[in-house]
Amino acid sequence: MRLSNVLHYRDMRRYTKNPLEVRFEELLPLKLKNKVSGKGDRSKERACVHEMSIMFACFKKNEFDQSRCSNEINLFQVCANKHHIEKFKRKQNIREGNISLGKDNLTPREINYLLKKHPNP
Amino acid sequence: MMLMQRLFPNLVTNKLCSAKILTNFVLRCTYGLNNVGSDDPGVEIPEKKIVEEKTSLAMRAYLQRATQYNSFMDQQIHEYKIGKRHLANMMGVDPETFTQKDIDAAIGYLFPSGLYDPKARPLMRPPSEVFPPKKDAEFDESGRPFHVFFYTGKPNFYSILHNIATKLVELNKFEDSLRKNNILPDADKKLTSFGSQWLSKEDLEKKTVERLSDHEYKHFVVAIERLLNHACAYKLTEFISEYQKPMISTKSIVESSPVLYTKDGRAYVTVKDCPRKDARADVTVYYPGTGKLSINGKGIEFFDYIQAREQILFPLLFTDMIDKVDIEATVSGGGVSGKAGAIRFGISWCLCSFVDPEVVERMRIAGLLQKDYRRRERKKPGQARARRKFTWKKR
Amino acid sequence: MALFVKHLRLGLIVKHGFHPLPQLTAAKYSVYPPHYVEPVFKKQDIDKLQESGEIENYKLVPFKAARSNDTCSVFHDPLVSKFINYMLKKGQKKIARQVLENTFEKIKRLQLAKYNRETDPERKASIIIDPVIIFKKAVSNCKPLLKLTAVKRGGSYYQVPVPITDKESTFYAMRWFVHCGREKDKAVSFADFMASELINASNNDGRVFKKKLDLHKLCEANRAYAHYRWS
Repeated sequence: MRLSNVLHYRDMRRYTKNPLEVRFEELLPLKLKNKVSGKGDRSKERACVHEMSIMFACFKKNEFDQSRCSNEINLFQVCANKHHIEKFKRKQNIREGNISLGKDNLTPREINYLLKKHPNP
Repeated sequence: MMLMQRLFPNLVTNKLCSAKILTNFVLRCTYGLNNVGSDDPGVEIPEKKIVEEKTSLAMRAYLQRATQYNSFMDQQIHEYKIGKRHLANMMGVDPETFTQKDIDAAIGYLFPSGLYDPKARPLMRPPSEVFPPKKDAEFDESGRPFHVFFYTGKPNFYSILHNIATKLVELNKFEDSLRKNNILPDADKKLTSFGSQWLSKEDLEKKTVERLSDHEYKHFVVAIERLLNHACAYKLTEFISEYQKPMISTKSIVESSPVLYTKDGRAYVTVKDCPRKDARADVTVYYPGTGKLSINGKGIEFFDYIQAREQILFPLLFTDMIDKVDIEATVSGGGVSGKAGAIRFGISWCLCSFVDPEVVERMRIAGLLQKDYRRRERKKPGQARARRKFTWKKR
Repeated sequence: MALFVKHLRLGLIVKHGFHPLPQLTAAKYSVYPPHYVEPVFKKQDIDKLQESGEIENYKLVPFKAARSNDTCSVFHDPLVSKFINYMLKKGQKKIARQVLENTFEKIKRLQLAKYNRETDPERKASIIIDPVIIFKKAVSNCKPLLKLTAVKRGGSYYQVPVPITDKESTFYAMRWFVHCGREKDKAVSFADFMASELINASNNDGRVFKKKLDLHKLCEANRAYAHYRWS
């Protein structure tokens, strides 16, 4: 495979008269890489935002009287604590390099490790 | 100075020593599979005659190094013996009965050193202690290494790691076989690391006779901890305990001072030189008593700081002995909290003789029997105080 | 990474997880070796350890020495001693402690006066006289639920409401008390001012309580930015 082929691939297509005559050329190997990029590491959604908004709504209704929103506050704090503990564990796992098996969402780090161990044939 | 060097050829400061250790470091090692010579850690030249043509370059280099090292050590030992005799004569003692302890005392007397770190002071020790042992030849005459892991550079260390890994695989297999038969590994037998710690890096270096990096040591700790945390690790207690050492020796936990008696038959215990910061206290506790307290001839009003008074009462409250003993203490040096801490430490140790061992254990857990080593932290250059930094200005 | 590969080659096969590269931790300043454990200096806490049988685990574990402000006395309270540490200036703990004790005395006097003035027995019973309980109630009433942190997005900084831990919120509450006490009028003594402030806060009133409400209101105003948070 030559780099120039890849770069000029489109141009070559453009100049052929009959598109049906274009032969398929395997310019890059047709298999997945044994690597994923680490860009999607961070989860997009922020934890406890929903609980926070519920709490604020209650605050607004009751003029910031906490005693009348104890249920909402409690929910928010439980959520925040849970998130805090999870965050700590996640950091610890990265630090110690543990893999959690049987999980749906693996981090790129974990995927890369597994792919390195069991590469594509 | 010349005379001194002639008299004490073995008298080296540690700085010199470490330089020598470094130069000789390439050679040292003895442990494990590759010990072809005797058990002696020093270098052993194989006794059989080696035909010159057959020996490899490596072997020849090794032999050269070995003879060099041996002659060096012989000379050092010789000089050490002469130095010892001179020292004994100077001190006016019989050289035959002059022990290492006497040497240390004599050096301390003849070369009083103001250097803060004891390691930096002059010393005279047997060469075998000063110069580290060397590894035996790790390869045969044709230069072929004995050990599988020779080319890792640290065969002994990596064979430990290898052993741990193979044991782990075995344990996994064992656990699988248990689970196949619907047996769960015994949760009661699970090992814990309470009360013991892993061999330190220095210990491990001594054990393997190889120099390890911090990273390598951490790898070792992680590997052995994984083995320890395995559900079936109880099968390998012996193997694991090889790399463990107790956190504290059981002896040092409680060694209560001897109980003496006054003329009228009251028991008392004296603990001298109780330390805390710059303060030193001598404390005597009389039992039975009525709760009298005297500090330098005054009562508890010796301290006008409430926290200091609380500290004095802490061990007494803790053991419920506040009105059952009399206390006499003399303190000097230090400030208020230092003085109070010193007396607290003394009272706690005195009370150990009068209470049950169970209570003593509780006192230990409460941190009353531990010497407080903390001192004022020094100011650092480039900083405002011990920790505080100067305000950062861009320019 | 080279090390990692070396280990794999040598057969360090790990079933559940991959081989970690341990991080080198920053230097700690403690004079005690790392395996020393913090002392448990309250009798009740040791009793708890004994009941749960956990004490057996500590048979061979060395403990650090108890600090010079630790004691098993009933008058010792960890929250109060923390507050003393927050309010002291230039290490003058003796003075700070005296001031706080004066404050507590003032609180007790004020509350006792209120108690004696009260005629209704039901109300009389509801008046708290113990200054330590009042102090704890005041602090817990002033603990914020959120804080604001500045997050840079698109060149400008946004004040983003973020949940905080219990420890952090306790710190905020106590720091507000101390700052409030320092901003007082010079004619009033710290003890007097602090006593009234603490009593007010324990009744959900006063400057510090207001400060907490202001923070909550600000958080509410900035709630739209909540998703700008880092995690």
